[in-house]
Amino acid sequence: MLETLNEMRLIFAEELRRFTHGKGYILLTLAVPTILLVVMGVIFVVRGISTSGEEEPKPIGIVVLSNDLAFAPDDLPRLVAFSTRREGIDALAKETVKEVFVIPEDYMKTGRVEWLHVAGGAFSGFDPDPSDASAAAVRAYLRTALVVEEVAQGRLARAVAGATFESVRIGEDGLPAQEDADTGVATFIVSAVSILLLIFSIMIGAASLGEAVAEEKENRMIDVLLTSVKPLSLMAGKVLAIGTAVLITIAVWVGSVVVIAPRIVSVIPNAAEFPINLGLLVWVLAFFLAGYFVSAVIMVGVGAVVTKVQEANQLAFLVIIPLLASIYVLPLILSNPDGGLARVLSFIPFTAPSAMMIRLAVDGASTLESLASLAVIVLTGMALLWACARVFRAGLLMYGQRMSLRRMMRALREAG
Amino acid sequence: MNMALEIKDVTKVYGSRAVVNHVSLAVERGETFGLLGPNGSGKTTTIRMALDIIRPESGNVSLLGGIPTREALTRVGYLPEERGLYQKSKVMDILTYLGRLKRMDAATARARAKEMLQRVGLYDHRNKKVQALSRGMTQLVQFAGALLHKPDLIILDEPFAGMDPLNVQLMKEILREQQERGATVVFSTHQMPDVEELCERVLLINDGQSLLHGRLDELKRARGTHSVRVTAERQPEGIPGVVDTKFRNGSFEYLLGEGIKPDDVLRSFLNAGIPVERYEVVLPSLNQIFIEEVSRARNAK
Repeated sequence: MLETLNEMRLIFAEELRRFTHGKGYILLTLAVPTILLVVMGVIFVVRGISTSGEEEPKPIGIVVLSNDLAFAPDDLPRLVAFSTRREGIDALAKETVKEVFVIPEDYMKTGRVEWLHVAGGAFSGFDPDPSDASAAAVRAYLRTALVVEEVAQGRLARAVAGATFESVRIGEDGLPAQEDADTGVATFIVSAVSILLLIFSIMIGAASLGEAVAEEKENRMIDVLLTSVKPLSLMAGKVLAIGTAVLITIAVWVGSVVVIAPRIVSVIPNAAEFPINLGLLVWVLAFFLAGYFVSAVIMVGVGAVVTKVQEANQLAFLVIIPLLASIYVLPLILSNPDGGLARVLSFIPFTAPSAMMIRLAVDGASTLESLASLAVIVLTGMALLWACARVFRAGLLMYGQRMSLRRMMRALREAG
Repeated sequence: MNMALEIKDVTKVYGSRAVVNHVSLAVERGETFGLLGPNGSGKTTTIRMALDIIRPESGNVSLLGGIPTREALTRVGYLPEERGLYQKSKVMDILTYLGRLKRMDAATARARAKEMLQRVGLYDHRNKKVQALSRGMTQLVQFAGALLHKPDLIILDEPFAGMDPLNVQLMKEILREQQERGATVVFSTHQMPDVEELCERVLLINDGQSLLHGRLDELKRARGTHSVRVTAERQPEGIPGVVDTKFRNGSFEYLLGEGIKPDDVLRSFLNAGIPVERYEVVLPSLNQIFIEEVSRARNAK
């Protein structure tokens, strides 16, 4: 047992090193963060250009000299109060505020407001008025200050703060659903993204495994390996290594999305507070790993029985099609997550990972059902690993010959 | 038990065809053994069974005194016929990996890789990727990899195929060094001069069946004396029993008929009063034996 683990460790380390050092892998892994960084850069550049002639979201200075306006401007957003005109000008010079509005003593008579702003640039002299946002902020202050004495403090606070909107989803029973809408959307997104990542990891990782084994068989490197390690150690080491490499890629992708995307979508209100169900994440990860395990084991077996690398690539569809089938029946599962079709697909090892991810997203599977489905996938994977190790050995001795079903069965019988 | 490798009566069947049919061989520790045969004769399959890569339908394999366990296989260095290293790996990395597979720790494996690369003259290429090397260089790297862990038994499948004469010479020198330190060498080939130069004992197989097995000099002697070589100014007329005469490199070569002794040729020269500078009984070459035996086996079918 210890020897097998040691052999697996050796194969794992080498396969992981070789796979992750490939240019293709590095480019693929860095693709998402690079794209996000480029998008972020473009947005910042475009925003910088488009806002270069406009006011920055800096505070607006306000100097209230009129004794008729008792309400403090600091209570309103973006406004910073100064006691004197001189203080306002100093703040303007230090660029702590973009502009300063001075409400003169005779404001009640004249309605005039002085707008102080820095002279700069060839076209600054053509600014006839303050921006709409600044003017609106100052006007809001003036309106509030004029009526403040007539309105109760509680009402004034609500008037200043405005309203927030809360979503309540009504279920088929006419009662509010347990989970709020944001969580539901987030849950569904997590599941959908996980299915896509699973398909990606199988297309890249499991297909690479089949190709790598077929290549080793073609150039007989496999002979050298098998004089040093057992077929089971070789297979398991490869499956784990490529799986780890794929997980690293996914981690980099998800990490970069988590870190960079909020900066890109910072204009979307509450984007950073998008709620995600942690328990669901654990389930999704478990089904993801189990799905990869089954597919990877099959692809290693495929690599061992084919005679050429191209055949391994062609046979990768064997593991991809069932996953795509789950996507195809996605609307059916969504419309009836507790239905017969959804349940059947949840217990077929090749469709179960994606079917369960969808069902979990719409709350259509119980914990017991999820555990049973996971057990089916894992046990199938282990049985396949055992069988593939036998077929692997039998397939490896066949150079230039196809592995017939009869021969596979014989290999399994001999092992038993 | 003095055998490094012993194969007893092994048979391997693919489909309905026995690619190795009741073959036996015994390789003594410390010797260099040649596994001969034409293309497709079953040499590689025999080697793969010896290494437990594939298992025979019947018969037994004993490796370094016991069944081919993982421990025994760790003491074997193997160079397969098709050379295939990971194309995108660096030479040093792949050799270190091969050493690690043979249970060497990383530091020792790297040190030995460095040593072996220096020995085969490829140290300057240690940081290159395999795909940047020529075919011959790749073969040398794999050859170095097979010897990295100082194996007790070295099994090489067609080691000199595709190599230039200088590299063949280098490989032979290294194999002699390995033998001197006590290693046993088994290699397959259909290049007879290499076998005559290196091997003490051979097995000739054809179409999966054993044709000859034993010490090279004994096999030659057992086939009888076929010809004599005489260096003289001229030859006597009508030497009795000579089937064919050739003049090559200043010497007369006489192919003898059935029942004729080499001494009869010498006597003919002396009786004719022709001074003989050199007289040599020529044993059949391995090449001759190979061609004769394989042809005979094929004609018998």
